Amino acid sequence: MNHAPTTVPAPGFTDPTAESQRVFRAVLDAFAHPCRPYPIRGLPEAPDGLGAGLAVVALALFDEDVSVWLHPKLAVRREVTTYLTFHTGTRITGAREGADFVIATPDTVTPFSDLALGTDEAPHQSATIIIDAGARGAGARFTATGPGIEGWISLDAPWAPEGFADAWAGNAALFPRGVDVIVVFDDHVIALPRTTRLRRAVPDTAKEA
Amino acid sequence: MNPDQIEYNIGYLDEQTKRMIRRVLLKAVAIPGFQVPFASREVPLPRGWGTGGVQLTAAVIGADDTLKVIDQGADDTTNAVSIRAFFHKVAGAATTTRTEDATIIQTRHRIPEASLTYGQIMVYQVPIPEPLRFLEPRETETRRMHALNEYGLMYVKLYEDIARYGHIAKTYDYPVLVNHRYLMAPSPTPSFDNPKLHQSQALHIYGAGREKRIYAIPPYTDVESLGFDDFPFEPQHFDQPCAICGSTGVYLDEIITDDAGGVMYACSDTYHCERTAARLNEEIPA
Repeated sequence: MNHAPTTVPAPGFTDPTAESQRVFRAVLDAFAHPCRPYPIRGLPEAPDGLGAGLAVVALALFDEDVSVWLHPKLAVRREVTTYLTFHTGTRITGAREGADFVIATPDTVTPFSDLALGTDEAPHQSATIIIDAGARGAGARFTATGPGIEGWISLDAPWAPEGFADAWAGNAALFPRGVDVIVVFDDHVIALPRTTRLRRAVPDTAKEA
Repeated sequence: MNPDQIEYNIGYLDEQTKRMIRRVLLKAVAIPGFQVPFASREVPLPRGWGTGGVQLTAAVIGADDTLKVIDQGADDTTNAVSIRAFFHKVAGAATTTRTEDATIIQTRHRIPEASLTYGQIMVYQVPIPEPLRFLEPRETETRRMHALNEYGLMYVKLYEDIARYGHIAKTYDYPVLVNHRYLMAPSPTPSFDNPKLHQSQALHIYGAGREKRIYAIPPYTDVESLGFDDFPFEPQHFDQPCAICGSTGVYLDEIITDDAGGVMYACSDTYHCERTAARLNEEIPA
């Protein structure tokens, strides 16, 4: 008898067509309006390591046509890999540089240079990073500008890793190449397409000095 | 259930096709004005009738959406009526002719007179997505020109117009520069509508079914119609008001009224015209 732990995947969408459409529209709205939160209805039954929000974004966007790199803590969890392959058929890869999607925690987001960045002729062939906002990073406050933003918008980013502003400025300098970011919370998403420019917000006390 | 009846997936397209289009759409929004290739599918209308637009609408629409479809400015033409009925049937979406009530507006090729608002999505049916196509027929070359930000050829074309006719003679599909980077064909939209793209509150997405390209302009994005310092871009303008509702500053269609050269000019946006005419009737009781 095989006594390996059973990995019957947790349930996915009950109504895949309608639910994935709603999640996609939230992500599309987020791309069209960078740094603004758009609500999603997470799946509480999703495996622990993945989380309710990440699960629905994965189910809405992944299939056998894309490859996904998982951060090391996620990649070793059978219930997560089984869940993703069973529900979406996506190819889980250990090669960061070739992945279409990268599921990262704040400490595995950077460097961007080892991800697919696209080419000048095909800038769309770059990685989309999905940041799990359930894990906290160094945290930072930014002022964001760019397409989709009327004037400027402030962004509170507790998920931002150390040095994110510099890494993001480096990404912006590659335009039209570069990665795009979706930050996923349990109940909402925000997006940072490569066109968004971030400036560290100066704390009020520092302004006086 | 009638066994002969075919059951289609909600939104007509299969889920994998929708996901493919959706992923392409995200990259298109992330790189404003860049044409992203996609695997265009067959839809139940012939290529050239809006297959790109229909696929985009099918990929984004949900049961809580309200769809408006216009052909030029009109809600009541065959194609517009059929596409509205199609999505009502396959996606369960509500349909409307009222611009302000619509969440998705599919168009060939006009932009409605009423200003678009936050959250609205304009879907364009695009015949030729490549603005440089008639100047450089090779796709390999035009891709490289976009990569190198090399748009001199388009300026030469505009210059030649000025040298030959004294003004830039392009009145539709007038080339724009999106976010100061990509040259983009706004589909055969009349140049009258070009200024509406600049810093628009709505998301504009473009689908070319036959040419298999999707591109987008996010809201609040700079969209500059090309021109020169001494010959700046000039949108079309109309001297007379609409013959039906009296609107000025709107796009007018020329309607031939007899065989002796008689014409009238009326709004191309039928919803705008009906609404304005109705208001006029309320103000001046017969």
